[in-house]
Amino acid sequence: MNDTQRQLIHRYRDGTLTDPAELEALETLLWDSREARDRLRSWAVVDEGLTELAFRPAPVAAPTPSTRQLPLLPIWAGIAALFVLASGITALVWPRGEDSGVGGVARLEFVSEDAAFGADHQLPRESGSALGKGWVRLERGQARIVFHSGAIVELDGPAAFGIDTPMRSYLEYGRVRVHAPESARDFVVATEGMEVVDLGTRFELAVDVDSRESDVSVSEGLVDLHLGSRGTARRIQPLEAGYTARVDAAGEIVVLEQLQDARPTEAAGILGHWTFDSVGEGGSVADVSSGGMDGQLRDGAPVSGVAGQALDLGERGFIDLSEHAGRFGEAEDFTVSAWVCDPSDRIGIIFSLSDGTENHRVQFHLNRRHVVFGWQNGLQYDSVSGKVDGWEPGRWYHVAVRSRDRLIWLYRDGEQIGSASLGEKIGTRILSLATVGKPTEAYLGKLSDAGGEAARTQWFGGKIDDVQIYSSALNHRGIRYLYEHPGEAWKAPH
Amino acid sequence: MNDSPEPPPTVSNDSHRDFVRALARHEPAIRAFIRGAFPRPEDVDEVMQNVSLVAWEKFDQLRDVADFPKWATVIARYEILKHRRGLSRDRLVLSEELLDLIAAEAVDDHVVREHQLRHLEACLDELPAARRELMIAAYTPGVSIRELARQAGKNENNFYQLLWRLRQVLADCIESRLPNPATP
Repeated sequence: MNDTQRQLIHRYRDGTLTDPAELEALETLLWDSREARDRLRSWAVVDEGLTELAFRPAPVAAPTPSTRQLPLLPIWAGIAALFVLASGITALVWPRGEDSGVGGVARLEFVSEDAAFGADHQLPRESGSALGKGWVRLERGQARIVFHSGAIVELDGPAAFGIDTPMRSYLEYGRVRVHAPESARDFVVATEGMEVVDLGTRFELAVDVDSRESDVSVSEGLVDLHLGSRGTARRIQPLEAGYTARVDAAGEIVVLEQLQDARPTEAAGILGHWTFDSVGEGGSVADVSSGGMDGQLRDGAPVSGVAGQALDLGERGFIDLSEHAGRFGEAEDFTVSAWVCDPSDRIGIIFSLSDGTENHRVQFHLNRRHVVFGWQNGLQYDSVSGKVDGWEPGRWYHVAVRSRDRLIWLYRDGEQIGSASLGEKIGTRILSLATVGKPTEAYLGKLSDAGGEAARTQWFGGKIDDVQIYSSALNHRGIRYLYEHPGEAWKAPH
Repeated sequence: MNDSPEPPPTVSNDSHRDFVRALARHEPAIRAFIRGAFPRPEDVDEVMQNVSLVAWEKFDQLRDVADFPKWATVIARYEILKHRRGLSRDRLVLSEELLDLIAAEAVDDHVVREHQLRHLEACLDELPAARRELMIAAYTPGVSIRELARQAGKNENNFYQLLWRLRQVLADCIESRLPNPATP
């Protein structure tokens, strides 16, 4: 095996392969070479062993767990705990976790004057104390705990709150408010019916002492709810700011409602609006907003659309907006909305913005079963997708992507079908239009290959109508409006 | 010829305890087997969870608990394939057929994996302290390689190269400590 082949295996193991062609090369290598397969397996043992060592707690006295619930147990310990309880053995089991040594896992930053701790409280009670693993039993009053990851948890008594690792905790009952800064992205608060995974945000979580129902409301950013009791297959429900969910002890959502718009509606900030109702001489496509971003049609033909006229882009048609690429590149937040019909069977590019190389780009596209926002920063491609049930021939669909604070939401026909704060493939941060760098190429219906190879350039391959791009993230109401009013732009209410 | 039916397997009062002991003892090597198919620890967790549940459901069919590691590894092989079928097509994961080959070739090597895991810690101790800590840090959940690279004053690509070298060093060290099959 040569270095390139070894690196291919390493990169697969590290999750940094980004190109399907590389995966194909790796598969060929592994099929052909027993040595390569042996290498992959021996490195897997090293990976697993190191993961286990990284998990292993320092040899300090384990705290006594709650008698009601053992959060975050490794599998065998979870099963063991069941048997232990069933057989009446009083051995104590505590989950493995990060080092809970001298510095502890967290710090008790504040305790209100009226606070009282229960008899089974296991940890120090004084402000400023280091906290290791164990249970905080707050009968009344308030306490603020700062985890070493940076996550801040404010606790209202009565509450039972388990501290596990700098990134994991457990709320048996009571109410907590959580703020996880960037350093604590993916901080987890588990309850009986779910795990709330914080994606850099603020949320409040309350668990009823009797029913174990949880109420979670997000005031900023986004969380993922991993629904289902431990030991069952969990499904993930993103919950964004302004939404609240009630989840029962079995992990079923009982109520999901919007309390308010995530943020007062911003000025809509439309950058461009292309209705395609008329195509000028020489293929000029007018921007009907006041943005002045007229484009140039290449290889498309007018057809009847969802509102007035649309464009059939055929196999290789597109609209060139490159002379405005710099203006798109100023948008931190954005929304791209379009009506589409009969997109390509493979990948249908709706919008792309790049610096002329494939290494710095964002793209909004469709494939057979997904609406996708993708980006590349350097050598790694990543994306967020929303699943759909396909594209019925001849039917017009409204699709949209909106991004705020580098969170992404995807829609089809006014319904949210996906959201994320990180890429699904390799977990990289989402790029906004403004993070492309110095964009020089912008297209509707095309993603140009950097090497100029026509064979690798991607197209939309269908009919497109009423494309709108905003320099703000429209809220749900705005997206819904665009779906219900084809051809019209969203105007923020004042 | 004896036509009398085989007596049904029985579950002894100790079977719960036997199961927990066997799983606790052999879980690391079974996880390492699964890791050969899926690099991400999250996938390993999920497959291992399913292996545990299936193994428990069928534990009364296991006649000799000494056979547990191989038996559970066979279960893991099927759970790997099941898990692969459920993964998104967007993810860059090896094909089901290839995963089956990788798993099939290793299904009988449970003891080897146990030895390998046992030697890993000693091999890690042979690394300079800074390298040792770096390797552990790189595998700590929630730790960003980019951030580690920044702290180490390296760019991300060079940092990955370093991790790959160390991974190879550890694998070679483990290999050198395994009993030579040619030696009587």
